[in-house]
Amino acid sequence: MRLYIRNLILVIFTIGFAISCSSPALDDYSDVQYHLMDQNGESVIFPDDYEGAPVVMGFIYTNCPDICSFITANVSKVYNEMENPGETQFVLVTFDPDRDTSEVLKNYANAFDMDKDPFQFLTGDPDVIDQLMTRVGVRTQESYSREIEDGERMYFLNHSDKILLIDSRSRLIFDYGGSMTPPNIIIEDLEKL
Amino acid sequence: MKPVPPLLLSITFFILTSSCNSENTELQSSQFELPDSGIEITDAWARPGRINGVSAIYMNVLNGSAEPDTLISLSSSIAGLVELHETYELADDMMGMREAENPVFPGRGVVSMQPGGFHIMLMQLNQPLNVGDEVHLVLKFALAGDISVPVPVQSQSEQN
Ligand SMILES: [Cu+2]
Repeated sequence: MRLYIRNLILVIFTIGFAISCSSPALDDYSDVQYHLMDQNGESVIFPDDYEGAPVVMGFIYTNCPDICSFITANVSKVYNEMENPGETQFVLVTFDPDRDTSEVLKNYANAFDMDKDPFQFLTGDPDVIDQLMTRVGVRTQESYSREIEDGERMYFLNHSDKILLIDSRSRLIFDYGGSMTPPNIIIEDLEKL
Repeated sequence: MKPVPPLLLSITFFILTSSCNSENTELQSSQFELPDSGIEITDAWARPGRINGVSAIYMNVLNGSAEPDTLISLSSSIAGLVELHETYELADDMMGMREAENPVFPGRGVVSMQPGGFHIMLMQLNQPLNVGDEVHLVLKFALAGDISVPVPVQSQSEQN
């Protein structure tokens, strides 16, 4: 409830802001290059490879079934409910690259029926992921862990809940609460680009 | 200050959610027809999950008995570990997840487990859960005993 109101306020504020000045870039990523890898093990560079079309980008880790599944499903929903997705790109980036390898992301994408265009799941070298997360304002901290079979440890993360809307010129246009933002709000914003 | 029991929070959350959609408050409460006795599970669904990964199950737990009930255990043949969890908001806009302790299901009441709140967490999945699959979950209650529920795997709740 509190979250919902907070996000509603955020959304209203953001819309108000958008109306008051037409193109309010919150950040511009064109000065950086993050070398990442998609779920097929192919190298990609963000933002260079994404220039030319808008990007809807969410941040997840696959051992998180509630909030992160929500974020993943929301990104999928934005695409499915768009009348004219055009060249829009839909990207989910893990902030847990130690465990979320390309192969793990591929299985995850497959379970959500998203291992296909226009969806992409990205991982990378932990240092690079760390730099990217710092830049986009996604924070994580280890919460609790469980001892599982063969002495292995399963741990969970506390994390920011975010979906970003980036325009075709690598500029950050909107920053949403990832799990709580209704997809139609993101669609409306995409249509304004 | 004594922390509020998580399930009480969930019930409060549920009531708050219902009262928000003011025009369907009646509809919302009548949407749940409590059984005459015992516990009934409705609207159960599970998130997709990868092999060795995790998933979450959501549902409404309707307790028709006058007595409060408690959950003793959870099990499913597809997961090595099953726990009742809750998602909560930390400082600085961060989200976390923790095990819900001593859940109580009030007499003649409904506990709603929904995304962003309570979920039954499946860990160490021994098979992938793809959209369209169905899994089985057994909830063992102190009074109502074992309840086995079929749970469809969906990318989101069919209610929205
Ligand atoms: Cu959980």
